[in-house]
Amino acid sequence: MKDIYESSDKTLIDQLLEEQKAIETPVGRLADDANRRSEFGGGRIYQSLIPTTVPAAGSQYGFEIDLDRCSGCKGCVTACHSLNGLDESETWRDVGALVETEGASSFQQTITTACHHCVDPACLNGCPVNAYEKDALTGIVLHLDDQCIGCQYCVLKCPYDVPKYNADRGIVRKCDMCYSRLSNGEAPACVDACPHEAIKIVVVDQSELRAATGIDTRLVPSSPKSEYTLPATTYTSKRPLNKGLEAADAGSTRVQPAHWPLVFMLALTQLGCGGYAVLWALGDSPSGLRLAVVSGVSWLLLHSGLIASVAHLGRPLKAWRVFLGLGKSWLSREAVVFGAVSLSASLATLGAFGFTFPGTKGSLAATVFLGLLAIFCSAYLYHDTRRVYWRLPTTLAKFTCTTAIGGIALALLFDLATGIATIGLLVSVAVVKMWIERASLRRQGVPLPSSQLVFGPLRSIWRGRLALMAIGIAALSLSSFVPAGVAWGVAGVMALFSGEILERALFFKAVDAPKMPGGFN
Amino acid sequence: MKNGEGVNVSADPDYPVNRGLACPKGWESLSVLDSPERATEPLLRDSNGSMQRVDWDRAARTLVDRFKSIQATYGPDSLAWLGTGQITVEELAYLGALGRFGMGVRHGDGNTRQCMATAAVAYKQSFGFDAPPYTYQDFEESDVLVFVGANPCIAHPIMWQRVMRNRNNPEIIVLDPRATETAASATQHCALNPKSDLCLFYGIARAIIERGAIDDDFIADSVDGYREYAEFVQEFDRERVASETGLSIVEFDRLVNTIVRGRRVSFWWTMGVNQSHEGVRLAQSIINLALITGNIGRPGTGANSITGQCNAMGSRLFSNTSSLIGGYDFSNPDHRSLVSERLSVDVSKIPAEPGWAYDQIIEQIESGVVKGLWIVATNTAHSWIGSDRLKRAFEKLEFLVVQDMYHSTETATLADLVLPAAGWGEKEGTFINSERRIGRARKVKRAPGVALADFNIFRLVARYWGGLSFLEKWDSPEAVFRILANLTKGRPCDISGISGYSALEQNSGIQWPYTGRDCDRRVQRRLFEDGRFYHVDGKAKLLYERPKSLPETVDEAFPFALLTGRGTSAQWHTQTRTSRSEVLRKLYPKNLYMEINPRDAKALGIASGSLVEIRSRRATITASAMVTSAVRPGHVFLPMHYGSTNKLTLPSFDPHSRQPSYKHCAVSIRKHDEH
Repeated sequence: MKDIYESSDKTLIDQLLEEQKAIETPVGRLADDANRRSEFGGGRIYQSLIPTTVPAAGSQYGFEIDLDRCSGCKGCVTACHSLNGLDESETWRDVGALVETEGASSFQQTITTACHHCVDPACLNGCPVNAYEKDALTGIVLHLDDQCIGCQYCVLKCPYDVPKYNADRGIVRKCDMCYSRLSNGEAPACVDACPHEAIKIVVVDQSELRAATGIDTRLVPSSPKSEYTLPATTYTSKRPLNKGLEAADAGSTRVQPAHWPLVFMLALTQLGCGGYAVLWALGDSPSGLRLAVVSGVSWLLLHSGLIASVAHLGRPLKAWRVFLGLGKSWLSREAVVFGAVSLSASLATLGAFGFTFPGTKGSLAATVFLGLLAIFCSAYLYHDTRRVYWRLPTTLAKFTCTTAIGGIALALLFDLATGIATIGLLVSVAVVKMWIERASLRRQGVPLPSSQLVFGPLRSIWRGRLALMAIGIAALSLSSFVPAGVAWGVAGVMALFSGEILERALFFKAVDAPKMPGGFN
Repeated sequence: MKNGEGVNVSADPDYPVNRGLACPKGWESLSVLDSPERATEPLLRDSNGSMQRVDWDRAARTLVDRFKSIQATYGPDSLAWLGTGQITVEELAYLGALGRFGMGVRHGDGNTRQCMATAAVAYKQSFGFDAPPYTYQDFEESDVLVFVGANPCIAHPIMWQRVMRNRNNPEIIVLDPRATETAASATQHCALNPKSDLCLFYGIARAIIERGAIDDDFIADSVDGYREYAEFVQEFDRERVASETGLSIVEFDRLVNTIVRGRRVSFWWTMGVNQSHEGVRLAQSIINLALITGNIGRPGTGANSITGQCNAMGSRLFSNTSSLIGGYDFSNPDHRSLVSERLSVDVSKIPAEPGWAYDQIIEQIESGVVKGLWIVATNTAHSWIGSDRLKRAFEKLEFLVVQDMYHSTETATLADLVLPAAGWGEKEGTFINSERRIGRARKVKRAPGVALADFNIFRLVARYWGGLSFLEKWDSPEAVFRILANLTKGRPCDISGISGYSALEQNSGIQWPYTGRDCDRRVQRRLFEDGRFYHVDGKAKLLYERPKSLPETVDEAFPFALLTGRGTSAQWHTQTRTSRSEVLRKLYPKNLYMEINPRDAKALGIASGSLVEIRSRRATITASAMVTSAVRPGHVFLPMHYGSTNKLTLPSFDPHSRQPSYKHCAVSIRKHDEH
């Protein structure tokens, strides 16, 4: 019986496989059909959904969302993804929800959100290489992909979590309100695709917007305050949105990326500057080999940190353009000042090794001064994101303490300063720093969301940080009194510095990251 | 298009169904085809239990040999198939004809049993044929829309578009225990107690009759059994309705007033009605309301069941499972001989009864009668109610064949033989949607590996089975379409006027009936415009029955009512496809979540994001809590898309449609211990 299908039926399989491979439908004809139809205006009527005129001076385009028409279908997200040809996992629009979590009434409102094309865009203001442009005519905030160096500072600056880092491309990308579609008189993808015509493009008067934005104005309840960037989106609804509404994702803990290169950059540059500071503070007393070794170690720490920061960039080869944003970007300022620190530190270190140049004298003092200025820039650039956990007083205090710890630890290790007094100083700085680290998690006595992260999902890092600091101090203190003290000392410094690195990882991972209300996840 | 293959999707602005718009699943419909989880070659379980790649010859031969030997050893009841509303009309007709008339498989059913069986039976009993009366245009033409157990904002966003385009400033009434997205958009949301809707509709009928707001002329001409019905509903006074549904009398009166005042009232239902222990009578209580108020056969009216699957209607008419292929009855000898003649099948091969329903097939697997099972394009191990029990039953099968696009579905991983199938976009054929519109599916991509269209897999099996000469003419989807079109001649679903695929393309799809002979050719057509129904007397029947108590009520040990349903618009059913798109994955929560009211959450010490343990009499599972007042105190809600939800659900069935009642069972909740 088997023979019946041996010979002839093998060919049926071949025939079926062949059929399967052939695309019989003249799909090209289908596409042509579609094109021909749209020539006849077979498409939807968009004219009411996009402005018919370009904005007058002082006005710009903005999204207008009719919340009463948004059903949460998320067609806008996928249409934006498809029509803009985004990478597989990339999305420029998002749909979240506001829910009632108190009281008996049942209420929920879905919120579609993309770039708000702010009047005063934080991304643009923070960009170190001027890769953002606010279009003079339309007010659309455009990201210039070819200018971007992938530093991701805009990601931290934007309070709405709009610019998204694309690791494959090494750059950030974001919504451009379908600039090219609008230029051709077509509606943006999301406007075009919304089944319920909930999304419109309207002309917004910038000074009216500015005047209408109070200190507590928000686009919708639980979204970030508008006064920071003056977002140009309008959300309208016939039903007033109760201020107590919560984002559907309010309960989820969002551990932020560690940005390890930045963790090392911040910790190591500060520790290195600490080394120079202690040399400067001790005046002429360190000399010879000790001066050379401490200078050399400080130079290595500082430059390892600087190299690490370059590793953070998606497009490191374009990093030389980082001075372009000097006028407004604290990241540019930090980079430029660190450039100067590097120069003067190199000069000072060469001097310590006996190579002198004009300017060697005074280079140590310059290194310390510029180093402190650079550390201030570091602190300010995080403060400038307006994230509470990164506010200036505690951030600057943490960074300064790290600098001090670096200096004192190196002094102890290389016997520049010894004895109970130095150990006491180290312990005092450590105690102060621990107090600051805890204080940074509260504001006016109230725990910040960051503390839930530090003592929640990040608690093992926090415990490791405490342990390393204690071990470091203990080992370093012992090193003055025991045989084989150098080994103890080296181990102590390593532990202490690792503890600082973990503290800096917490600094990134536990930060509050404001955004528009998201969906439950 | 790129290199002759489709790379991206855009919707056709002139198609009368979606009008140029798509939901996330539509936008991503091509990207789910490119997945490492695709089945690319036949896989056969070896003696060690691991899956080995085999060629089609070996696969087809094994299937045929094993099924024939099971049939020979255990008799004619030992084989069954579980089909689908996912494949094309031509494919499921092929499977139905091959299975029933060719291989002599007595029992075949489809996953439409889980979604549309109730509506199909309800229509058939009431109208004389399984005939959804409406056209989607009715969404735009109503002045009152009543949604019962339906959440179109999430489940049918493109249908909701039509509601939003309604220019009559309509009243939108949503009957749902949950404050869904649709309820949020409604003008009236009646948050009634779960499964109390039968009482509510009888109560509404009584109130309407009391007010004399019935359509006397229509009842006299077109409705059978009115007097008895009017008497029956007398016991459902407003006080009883209020106490059973939990609605206030004010709410109830407002609801009745709105329906009475409406000139074009349409009723729309989905799974909240169909998936119920008394679903058929419930659907009929809605149909009855439309009938006594004359809200049928006119624009903007109707008692309208919306489907979820692309081809549920095709399955209802052509799968040869619960009804004889082409809209006929197995039990009718005239029908059998007509089908025999038109399909050139020996009449002795046509069974006189429909065979077992889905739950009965599972039961017979459990009891060791069914030994060989062929599952096509459905994910039974995830979707069947009380899924733990089902998996135990499957262990008793001697040979399980699963034919699917993906080798990794919960069901495919249990299979002895996996047959790799081409998906939508990789093959030709037609689908029939819930407004009875036959539309084309086109091939725009090549299937991966040696995957074959289901149609061609069936052809292959037919050839290997041997001796099935009546299938010789079934050699292409379009040839089968023409055979089927001819088969329907004279039935309510007569489509003999459609000459072929080009007619469907030229006409933006065609709704049945379409007889050709100077028939109505409008793009939007509704049934019963002349007040004639399909029963012999031309009248529709009013059918009713006293509400039954819930099969499982909440009690002290299991104090919460578990509701289930669709989670987000980016998810579909068991997620065999929607989990394959990175973008869609971003649009829904990764892990199972449970909605719970703030009051209950507080009492149990649960916050949003807390891990909770949910226990029913069948199983215990965990989920993360989402605290929201969208669910009422005493209720919790679980989306159906996650594998563990159906471990909890209670296998109970409507006695008429045998559709499972997924929507209600009793559970207990506690905060999961920290580990």
